Amino acid sequence: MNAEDRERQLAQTQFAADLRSQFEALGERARPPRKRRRVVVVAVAAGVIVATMLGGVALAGGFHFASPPQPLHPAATPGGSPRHGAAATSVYPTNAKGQTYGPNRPMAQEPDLIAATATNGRDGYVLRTDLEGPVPSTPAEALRMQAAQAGKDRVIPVYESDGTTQIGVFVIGSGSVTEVVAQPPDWLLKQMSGLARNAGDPQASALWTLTTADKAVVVEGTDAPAKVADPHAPVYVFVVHGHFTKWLWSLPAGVSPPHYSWVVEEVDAGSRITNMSGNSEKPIDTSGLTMQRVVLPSAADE
Amino acid sequence: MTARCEEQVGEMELRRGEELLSASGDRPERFVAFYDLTMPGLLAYFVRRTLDAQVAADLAAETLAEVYASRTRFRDRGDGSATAWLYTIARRQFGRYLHRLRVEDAARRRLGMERLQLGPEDIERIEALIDFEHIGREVSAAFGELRTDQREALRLRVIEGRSYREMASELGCSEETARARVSRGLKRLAAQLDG
Repeated sequence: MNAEDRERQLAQTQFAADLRSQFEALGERARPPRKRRRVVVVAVAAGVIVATMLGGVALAGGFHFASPPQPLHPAATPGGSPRHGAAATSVYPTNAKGQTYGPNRPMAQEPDLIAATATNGRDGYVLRTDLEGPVPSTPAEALRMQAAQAGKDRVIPVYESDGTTQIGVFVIGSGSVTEVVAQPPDWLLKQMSGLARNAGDPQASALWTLTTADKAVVVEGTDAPAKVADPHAPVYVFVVHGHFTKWLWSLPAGVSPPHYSWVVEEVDAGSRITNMSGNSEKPIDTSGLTMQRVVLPSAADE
Repeated sequence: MTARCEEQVGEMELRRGEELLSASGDRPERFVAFYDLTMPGLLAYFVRRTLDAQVAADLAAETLAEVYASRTRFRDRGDGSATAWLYTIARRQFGRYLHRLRVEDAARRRLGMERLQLGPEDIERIEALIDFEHIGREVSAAFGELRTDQREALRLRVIEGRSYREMASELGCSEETARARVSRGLKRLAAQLDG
C-alpha cells in the first residue's frame, strides 16, 4: 500500500467518523427551520440571481423604463394595508366574492388571489389554486404528474382583483425551470431585504421572478450578463425599487453620490453570493420577464 | 492515471473544496462534505509534522473547528482558495503548537465539541503514514543545522521535558533567554522540515 492509499484510509478511522459526527451535529443545530412551504418543488440544479436595484431617482421620476413601470399594488403602496401581519384575514383585502387578494406576504398565509404580472405586462392576480395546480395525493402520483408535465408550459388566467375579469395569462414552468413557487424562497427574500436595508431603504418594494438564464440576459444594462454557460439554468431575477442613499459596493471613480441603477449578483446552489457586478446608470428593462410583486420582510421578521 | 488526468482531478478537487466551503456558509450542514474532502489530507499533514498521532488528530480537529467557525468569512476566488484558507489556519495551529508544545482547543470549546481520544487501531493506522526512518534522518539533519545553544535548549525542553526555570539554571541564563532559544530553535527546525 502506498502513502496515498494510507492517507485515504484515514477517512476510515473511528476518529474521522466521530469528528464527522460532531460537525454533523453542529450543522443540524445551526440549520434554520423552514418557514414556508413551496407550492411545487421538483428539483433545482443551480441558482443565479440577477438582482436589480433602482435608485431613489426612479421613484422621483428621473428614470424611465423601456416598458413603463406598473403602478404598485394597493397592498404594497405606502399607506395601504399593513406590510406584515399575523393572520391572512387581517393582512389582505377581500373582494366582493370574499376572496382575499394581494402579493404574498412573509409570515402570512397566501391569499386566494396572488398578485402577478400577466405576459401582456398588466398587473393582476392569479388564483392560488390555479398556481398550485392539481395536488398529488401520494408521492407516486406526484412523480407521474411531474413526468407528464415535464417540459410543458402551464398557462393560467390573470384576473382583476374581483377574481372574475380576466386581463391576461400567466405562464408557469417550461424547459428546465423545474421549480414553481408562489413565494420567493426564504433565502431570496432575505437577500432582497438585506440589499434594500444596506442600500438605505428597508421599505423598498420588489419584483421577482424565476426564469431561465437565457431569458435573464435580456435584462438591459452595460454589465448585464452577455452570455450564459447554461441557458437552461434556473435563474432568479429581482428588481428592488427604493430610495437608496448608501453605497453597497466600492465607489466608481469620480462618482460621489450613490445613484447606481442596478446590480447583478450570482449565487451558487447554496444561495450564497459568489459574484457581483453592475453599477450601470442605464435603466433596466425587465419587460421581457413576468415579474411578481413581493413585500420584503423587515429585519425583525427574519 | 495519466499526469493530465491527475491534474484535472486535482483542479476539480480544488474547485469542489471552494464550492463546498462556500455552500456551508449559509448551510452549515454542508460542512461535512468539505470535511470529507479535506480531513484525510489535513490529518496526514499534521502527523508528518508532529510525528504524534494524537497531537495530529487534535490539531486537525482544532483546525477544522476554526474553519467551521469562520466559514462565513470565506470568499471563493476560484483559485484553490479553500485549500489555501484551510492550510493557512493549519500552519497557524501548528506554529502555536510548536511555540507552546500543546494543542489549542479554543475553537472546539467555543463550538462545544469534545476532545476525541484515539484508540489503538486509529493510532496504528495514522502512524502508518509516518516514514520514521526517512523522517528520523531529516530531523537529525535539521537538528544538526541548529545553533549549539538552540540545540541544547531544545534537548532540555523537548526531549527531557525540563521547566524553563531548570533550563535557566543549567544553561546559566535567564528564563527569558531559555524561552527565546527554544522558540527560535523550534521555528528553525520547523522551517527546515517544512521546506
